[in-house]
Amino acid sequence: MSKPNCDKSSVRTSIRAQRRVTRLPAMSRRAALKGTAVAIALPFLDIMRPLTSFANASQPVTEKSKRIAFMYIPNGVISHHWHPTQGQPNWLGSQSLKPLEAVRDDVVVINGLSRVYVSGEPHSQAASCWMTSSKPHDRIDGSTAINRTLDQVIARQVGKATPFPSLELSCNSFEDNMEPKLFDAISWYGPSHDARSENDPHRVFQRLFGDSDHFNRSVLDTVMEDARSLNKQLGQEDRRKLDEYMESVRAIETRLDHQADSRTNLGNVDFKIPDPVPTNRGEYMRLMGDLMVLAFRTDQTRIVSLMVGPERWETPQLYDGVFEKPVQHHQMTHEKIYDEEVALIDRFHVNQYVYLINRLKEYQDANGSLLDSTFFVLGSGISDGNEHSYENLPMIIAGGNANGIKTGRQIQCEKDTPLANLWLSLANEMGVELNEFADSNGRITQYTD
Amino acid sequence: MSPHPVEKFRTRLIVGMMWVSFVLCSGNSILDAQQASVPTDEFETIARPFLNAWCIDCHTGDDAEAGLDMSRFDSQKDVEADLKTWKSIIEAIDHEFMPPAEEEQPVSIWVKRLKNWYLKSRVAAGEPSRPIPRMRRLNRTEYENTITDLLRIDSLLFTNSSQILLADHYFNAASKKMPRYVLAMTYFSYGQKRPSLLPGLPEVPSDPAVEHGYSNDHEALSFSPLQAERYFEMANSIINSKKFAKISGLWNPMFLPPNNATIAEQKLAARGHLQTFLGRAFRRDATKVEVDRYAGLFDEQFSQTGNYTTAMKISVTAVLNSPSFLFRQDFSAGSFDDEQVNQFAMASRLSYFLWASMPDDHLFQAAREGRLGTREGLVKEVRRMMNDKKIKSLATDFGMQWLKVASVASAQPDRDLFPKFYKSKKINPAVSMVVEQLLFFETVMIEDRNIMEFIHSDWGYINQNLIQWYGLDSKAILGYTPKQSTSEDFFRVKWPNDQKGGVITSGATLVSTSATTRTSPVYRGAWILDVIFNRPPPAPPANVPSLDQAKQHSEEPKNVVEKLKIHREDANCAVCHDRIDPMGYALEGFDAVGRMRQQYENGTTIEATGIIFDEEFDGSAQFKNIILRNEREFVQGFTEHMSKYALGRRLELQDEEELKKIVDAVVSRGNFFSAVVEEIVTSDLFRSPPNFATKKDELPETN
Repeated sequence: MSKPNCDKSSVRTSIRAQRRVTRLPAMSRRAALKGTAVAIALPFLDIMRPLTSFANASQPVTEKSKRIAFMYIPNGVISHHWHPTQGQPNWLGSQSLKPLEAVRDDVVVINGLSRVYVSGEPHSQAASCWMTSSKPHDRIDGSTAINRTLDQVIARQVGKATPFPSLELSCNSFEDNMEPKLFDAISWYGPSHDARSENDPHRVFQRLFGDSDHFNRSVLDTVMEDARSLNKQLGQEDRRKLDEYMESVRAIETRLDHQADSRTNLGNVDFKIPDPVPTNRGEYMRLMGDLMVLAFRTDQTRIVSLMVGPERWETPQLYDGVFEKPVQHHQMTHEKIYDEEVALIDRFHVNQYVYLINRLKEYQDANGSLLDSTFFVLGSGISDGNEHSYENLPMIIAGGNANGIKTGRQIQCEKDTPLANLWLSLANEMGVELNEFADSNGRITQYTD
Repeated sequence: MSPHPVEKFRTRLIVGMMWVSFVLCSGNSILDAQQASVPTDEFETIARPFLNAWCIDCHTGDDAEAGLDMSRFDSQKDVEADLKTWKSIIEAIDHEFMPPAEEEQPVSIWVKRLKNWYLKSRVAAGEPSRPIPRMRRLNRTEYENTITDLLRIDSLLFTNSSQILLADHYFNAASKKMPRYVLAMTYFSYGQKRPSLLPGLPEVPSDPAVEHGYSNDHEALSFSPLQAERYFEMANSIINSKKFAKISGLWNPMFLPPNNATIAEQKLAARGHLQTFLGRAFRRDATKVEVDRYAGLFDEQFSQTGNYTTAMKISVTAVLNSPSFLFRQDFSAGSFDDEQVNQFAMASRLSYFLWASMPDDHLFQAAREGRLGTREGLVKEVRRMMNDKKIKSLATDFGMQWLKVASVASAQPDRDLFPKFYKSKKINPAVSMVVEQLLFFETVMIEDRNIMEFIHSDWGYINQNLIQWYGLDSKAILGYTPKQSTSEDFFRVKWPNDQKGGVITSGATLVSTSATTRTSPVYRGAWILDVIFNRPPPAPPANVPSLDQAKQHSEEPKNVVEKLKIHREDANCAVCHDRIDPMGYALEGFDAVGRMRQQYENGTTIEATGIIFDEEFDGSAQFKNIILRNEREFVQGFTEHMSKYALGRRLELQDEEELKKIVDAVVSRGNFFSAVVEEIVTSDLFRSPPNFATKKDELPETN
């Protein structure tokens, strides 16, 4: 929605009026957020009750909207358990991909994509440069090729239609002041400018659906004036920092415009967020994933990245249903004797992915399911975690049928096909006109044609 | 093979002598005048011979070691096009990780030539001759402390930060003496959520860590829409909290309307308050335009709502959302032209270094009176500030980050092997270990002790939990008098022998550098190289073979030390691990959860031997003793760490000269903690404006 061209104060009043209408009678949200296992009254559908009322909902998913989501698994995979043997007819024979059986008609398994490793720390560039738009040897920030990532490139264009141009989620609630952000961020606005991810489901929910009373337009106007006059006094480097600030404030303003418009259209739902947030991996990932699905359904955003865990961190984590005790994923990838165990973690991640594919499938309207209009990517920036290999990366994409993607198959790319070729294809599919992306040397036509 | 003289390989494990070798060979400053461009023949006379002699044999072609093909550098132009790679090359050579130890080593004069040529190449490629620190957002600790001080809140406002919350004020900084006994503290582990003093106050967003740096590093502190939302929400929550009126010293004078005043008088009063407040919030006097802007917002809101308090709340919220509040500009390039601005910038630098907070009224006054421009003026302020209770931040923020204490909290030793670690949540030894380390740091700081005591001391703090955990004999510990205390109270004690003492052999270090099931000499060695000597080993390259290559050997290795020795038979690994691992061996006398041990679980004898600084050691006590005899190595490491924190940036080759001066001064003053602080604050690194590439008179000279 474009900003109405009229007196600012009247805009403010009308926003407030609208919000009063939509405000919910139930408990105060803040109180709700503090409680344990609360049901938060939220405008819109009942996500726990699939399908039924979707057609009645006013307008959340428009016909032509396309979505894309990136689910990132850290530390690579056990390749020989992941990739089907060459020429093997039944690609589901692979041990780690077994769970895909349940959604076999909805996915495309892509093998043979690779990246260029640049000398330096292998894990930090694995995640931070997974989606980068720079060529591998362009070390813009001093050590890595970090630059605006694919999701942000798409968000600049597609994201304008929604309150949040993109949403960045992570399932890492630990703090470890030994590991820098390179290991814990896949989404970047630009060199050394990471899109901070949200790891707290309560906060994600609050951000998407909570009230935004704490944003006062007069206050935003005042601080923007401050920023503009400050800008004139700064050197070039400092200006870049201030730009980050100004862009952020503008993002809030845009979002307020959008939300003022869209909130009145939302219905009512319960969405349960346990408190404290579950620390076992499965529950945590499904919870964040559910929020991703919810954001798509309500058209709060069309671009989501979900980093299920950071690269290299040694925090022991509980993979529920796989091991009885917390284990250190990264460390295990470096001891060959644990190959079988690591492969179980890989399969565990595929299981969560399958769960989310099913969630996306559950929501349908006349045009098909939410999954049909979504490219849902699962991958990692490293293939073999033990050797830090960047060749033959794990890559699966679910959905995309609305774009004419034929699912239910496996694609074998030629050796050394750049991962960036796929990114270029996806950018094009999402409607972003580009002829090259990072070190691409073509497109993955087998996927799109 | 080499056309140049070579030096026999030195057995010192840490030669950490980057500055020393520099100066011995050169009477000239590296920053002496030179022209801007690097004559192309310098690549031919310096770089190429160096590469040919010491690098190219292994680093060439498709199968180059570490994937680094140096033969692609064939001209000065090639170098300037990829200075990033050169940065790591120079670092590897400078820190003596390359060439590998068993190979011929370049003589120091050649290393120096290469470094100078590299510095010149950088400048020629348009990079600044000194690192330019940038404007940066307040990090979490700074934000929390600044908000609390700015709003004159005299209690702990943020309780869910990463700081350790102990019973308040168990020491009096001005007394220069830590207590003998720290009783019944309420402490929490890192990251643990605690009820906030203001109900509903959201958590301040955490900051990313910086590899080998600190959380105030300007490069890490970016700003995103998500963070903007959270800061704005935070400001709103605080100012509109029901309790705000009770806890803020600003409430009565600033937020309540003046009695019996006309509208015009009220507006005038508000303007006055805002002017003062803006000056404190922005850490410099506000400009007239700024005062007009915020007074204008007040007037608008006052007219709309008719309520003085509401209008003031909105105006103050706006100040807290302003970039001039949220961003530190005290190191940025723009602030050095004007002496007055410079004084305010210095006040902020001092207060964020020592207190991780904004300047207090006294410091503002000193800046206004121009008293922060001289060494005497600065030292006077530093001494005053060190006597303030806020100096605790230097321990909780710098000290705990320096010692990497936070990772003890996320350490989870194997539950089957170490069930007692989890016996009770309350006495989880990890929590006590954090406090043990903190009290130790605070003591060196508050009592202004010799920093060599970080390596070894005959005193420490301990509680009953840890005595039991470490398996110490409480009767032998002087000063431990647990009459009416709980098992958590800490005592200042004198150790009966040299097993304990200092930070290296403390539980926090030993546990956080272990794997879940066993010790890790590699992590421990890397910790010592990084924390103690500020010479972190480079990251392992891609395609590293794993530890269990050991399996290929006919005989099963009997312990982790042996396993690692086999690992190091691979020359690729030996390059770094020859330096890393032996440091870790020194601590093999302690198990993965910090307890002393005589033998491994399988009954084999502990091997805790190695060589450091040309001397053999057996066990941690001898190891520490050798470091004590090479005090400069640690003083330099510690000074560099604290400088990184004080400056909020990485250190670069260009900083060498200044750092050396600081270290010299600290050593000559007897290595006291205060000497390190004062010498950093009064150094050119901290005081002088950064130099730009355009300043051609400050380029390094070659040779």
